Amino acid sequence: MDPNFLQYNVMGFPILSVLVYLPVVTALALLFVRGKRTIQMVATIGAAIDLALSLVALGFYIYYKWGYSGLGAFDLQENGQWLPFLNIRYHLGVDSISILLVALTTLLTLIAIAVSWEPIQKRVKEYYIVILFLEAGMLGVFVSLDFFVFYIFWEVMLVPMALLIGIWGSSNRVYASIKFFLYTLAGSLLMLVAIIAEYLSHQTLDILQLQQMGPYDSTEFQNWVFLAFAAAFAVKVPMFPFHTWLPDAHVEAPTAGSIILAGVLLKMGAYGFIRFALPISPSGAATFAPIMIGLSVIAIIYGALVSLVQPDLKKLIAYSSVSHMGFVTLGLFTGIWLHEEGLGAATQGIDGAVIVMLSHGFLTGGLFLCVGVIYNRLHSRQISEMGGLAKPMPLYATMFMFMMLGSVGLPGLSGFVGEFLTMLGAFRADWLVGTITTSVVIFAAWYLFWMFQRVIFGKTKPHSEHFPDLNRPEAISLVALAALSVLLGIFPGVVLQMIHPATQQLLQTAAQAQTHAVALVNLFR
Amino acid sequence: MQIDYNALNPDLLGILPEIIVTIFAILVVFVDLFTRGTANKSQRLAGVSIAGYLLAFIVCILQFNDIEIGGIVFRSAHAQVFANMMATDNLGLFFKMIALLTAIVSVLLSTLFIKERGMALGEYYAIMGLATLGMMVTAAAVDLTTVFVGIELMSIAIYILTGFARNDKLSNEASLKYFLLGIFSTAILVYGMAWLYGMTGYTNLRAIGQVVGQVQNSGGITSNGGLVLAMFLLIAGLGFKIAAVPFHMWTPDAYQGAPTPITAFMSVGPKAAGFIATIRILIEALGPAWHTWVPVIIVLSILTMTLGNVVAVMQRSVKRMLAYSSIAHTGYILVGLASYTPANGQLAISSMSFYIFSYLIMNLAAFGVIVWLQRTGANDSLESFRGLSSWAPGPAALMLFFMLSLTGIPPAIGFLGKYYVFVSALQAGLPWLAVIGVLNSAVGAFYYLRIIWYMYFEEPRAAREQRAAPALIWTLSASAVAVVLFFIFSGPILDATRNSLPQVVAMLAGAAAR
Repeated sequence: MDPNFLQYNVMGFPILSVLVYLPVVTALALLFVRGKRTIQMVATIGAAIDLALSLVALGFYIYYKWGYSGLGAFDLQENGQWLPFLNIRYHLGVDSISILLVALTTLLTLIAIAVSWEPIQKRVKEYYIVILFLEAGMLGVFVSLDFFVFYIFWEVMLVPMALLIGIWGSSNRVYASIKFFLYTLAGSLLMLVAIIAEYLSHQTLDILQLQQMGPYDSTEFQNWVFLAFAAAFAVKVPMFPFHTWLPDAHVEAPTAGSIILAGVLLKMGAYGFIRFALPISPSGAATFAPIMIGLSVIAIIYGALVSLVQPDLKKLIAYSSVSHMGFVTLGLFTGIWLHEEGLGAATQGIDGAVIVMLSHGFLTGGLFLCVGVIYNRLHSRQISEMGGLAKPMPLYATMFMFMMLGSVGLPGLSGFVGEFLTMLGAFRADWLVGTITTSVVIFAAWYLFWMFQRVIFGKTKPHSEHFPDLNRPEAISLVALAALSVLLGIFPGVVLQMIHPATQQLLQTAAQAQTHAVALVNLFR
Repeated sequence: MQIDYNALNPDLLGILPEIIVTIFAILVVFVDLFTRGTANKSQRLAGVSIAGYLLAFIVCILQFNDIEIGGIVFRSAHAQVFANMMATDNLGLFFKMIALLTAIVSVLLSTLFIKERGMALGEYYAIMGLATLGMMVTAAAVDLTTVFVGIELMSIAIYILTGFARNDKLSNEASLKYFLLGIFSTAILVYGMAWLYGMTGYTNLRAIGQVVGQVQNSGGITSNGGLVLAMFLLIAGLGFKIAAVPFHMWTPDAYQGAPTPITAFMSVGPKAAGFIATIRILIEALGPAWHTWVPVIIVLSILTMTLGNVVAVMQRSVKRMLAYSSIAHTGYILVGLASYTPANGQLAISSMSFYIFSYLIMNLAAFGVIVWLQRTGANDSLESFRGLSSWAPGPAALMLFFMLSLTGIPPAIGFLGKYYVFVSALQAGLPWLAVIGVLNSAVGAFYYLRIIWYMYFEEPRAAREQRAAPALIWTLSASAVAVVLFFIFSGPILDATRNSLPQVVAMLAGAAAR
């Protein structure tokens, strides 16, 4: 093995590899297990250990980075030769943004597995194997620091998700699954070309090195690279014209699939922008920032308006996701738009975007879980068939309210913090953009409160009078998500302090390259 | 007694693997003659032929890596043997190993299938051995005559194998079509060879290469109409063997009609042999004129990829679909050939070799699943895959792997093959060719995924009786493991392909680097 394999790893232990491959090992172990109960236990325990490991990694990261080299830096790295002559390295590592997303992933996967015990009765073994492979893919995306490795995990994720929708989904699942697959595949293949182009112009695929070299490429090259990246990431986010796969996928996916889709998969696109598109092709990002900001604003408004008229509860929340992810991209691109005006202004939007990502994971994950709970009992997602659920299911109503208020952006819950910061960034970028996005929050309140009123209050329908309240895994999951949302809402400073150095670093190289370019221009003037 | 191992005949050492395969091909016939009709005769004969292939394979490895055992150096002392007819270079050895691996896997897929359909056993394995021999000869051939002998030996053997299901009308039809179009293309090939000989005065490829180099230096190859004609005729003749559009017409019928294990065999072996002959003729002999033939290959590769993928989408028979998919894969490999420049020679050839290796594993295995399915009484239509995962989760999961690998989705070897070919294209300054290839992969995804969708998302009409086929299932499982493992640990294979270059390419690359 490469002697420098763990050179930049405070733990001296390849914990990220263990994190990523533990789900695979669990999945392989499931092949040899019989009995539904045992299968569920093995899968749950595997996911729980993975969550514990990710918390250990998070703890180590914070503990060692708080005082020493600063929280923004990459650590827990593993860096070894893989395919030397194509200069592909097995390079993993996390900074404060990715370690938080890793923890979010393991948490949501555990929840997804735990709440599937009851509803999933068909092909149980395959179900958990697919979810565990999905988890491995997602974790791999967040921890890889080599483009080739990243691309592998990016694609690995695709197949299990498509299977999850296609096998365990509801009536129109095949269409939704294939649409999801082809959309994302087409996007990521273009990214592959960009990856190869980066390799040929820099002779490396190491992301840390590319982040140093990429900003110095010619603007034209950066524009093309950015477009190719954007094709992959915008589909995944999804940004406005590329969002059509999302409602289909969400509506047809089983509850666990929706939780993972909303909670983690949508973050992949935003993470891709943060980690690759913005730092490696900052000039390209700046070129297209106005367009991206425009699309984000459209997504925010459009998602909210379409949510208003949805008769299908799950579709309503799916479209609200489009709206919320609009805030993420808005924050990111106002940030890159502003980075010439100094770091202070620019990082606000990006910090806000990261917070929205986390908060959206808790809240929308929770909301989809709530939809799943009612679907298991009612076997329908039509809002018109619900009503008065507060009476038979008081605990459910309370938790649902929590998630709903968080999504609206009630101060004190996590939704508020992120949206506030992105709006601040938006106002700094352009008062019009800021005004429009701020006023759209009213729509969010409108469609969510109205939905809540129709589902929870009013007269209880006869068929739902004897619905049982939350069962134990559902209750624990929802309480945990709500608690995290409250924590993030009341103490956002802790998380901000973690991610701020990382976002700062992200913009610094870009800014340096920009001054470098300006200096060059002045030199020849 | 002291033996002087250095006195071992370099000529014979150069073709040692071929000699072994010949002996075992004849041996199979004798074993067949002198054993009574026992129940597991097919397995026994398969065992004999596999033993031969393995022995030859080991010799190839020893030669490739220059390993000595007890003072014997297995690699021939000469670079070219038999009056410069055969090369002993690594490129030839690599393709010999490809041929042997193809044969081994095909035999493993065949055993029960052939017996149950009442085909003549001894002849089957013997003829397959001769086809393999033809591929091996082609791999090492560096003279127009040996190239021709190798290709013909292989082709004639495969015409017979295609029609081996004598009572099956489709099989007969396929064989006849393949035969008629095959001899037609061979005639074109020979005509091209004749022109090449007439214009240069040599049959040895490297000697021809020198003359072509002189022509190129003194006014360009386009000034010599005969050479250009020879080039086009050769590309057309070889294009038939590798199933490149517009010379692909025989492929779907022949693939569909042939007994499935033979389809597996002929989808890989002759293609690999066709490609090695193409590499040798175009690069070793016509290399100096690359400016002239590279554009032709670019056009061929675009046509081949696009037509293969688009038509595959419309197929309802999985065998036909895989036939068009194999045409599409020819297109991807041609992207590697199109990216040839003297400076980029190493990357171009090694990307092609690696792609062919990856294609070998995944394509043979995909046909293997059809063999398995046909033994349950199903036919090769898409319908037979409906709901497969619910009554046969194991084979369905294997097929999933092979389809993903053919699509080019990591972590499967097919992805690395594509990646490598596209890297080569971008390196050669053909970014748009890589983009066309990538877009084609997206089209390809559609029909490969349709099989996955039929297997996993649909409910079965009726569960069929599964019949034990341990050798088959083990082969397929091993292939699935290989598809993933050779992706993760692809270093040795990649190194092998990079070390397998014809001398002249290495020389030109070195000169270009300086």
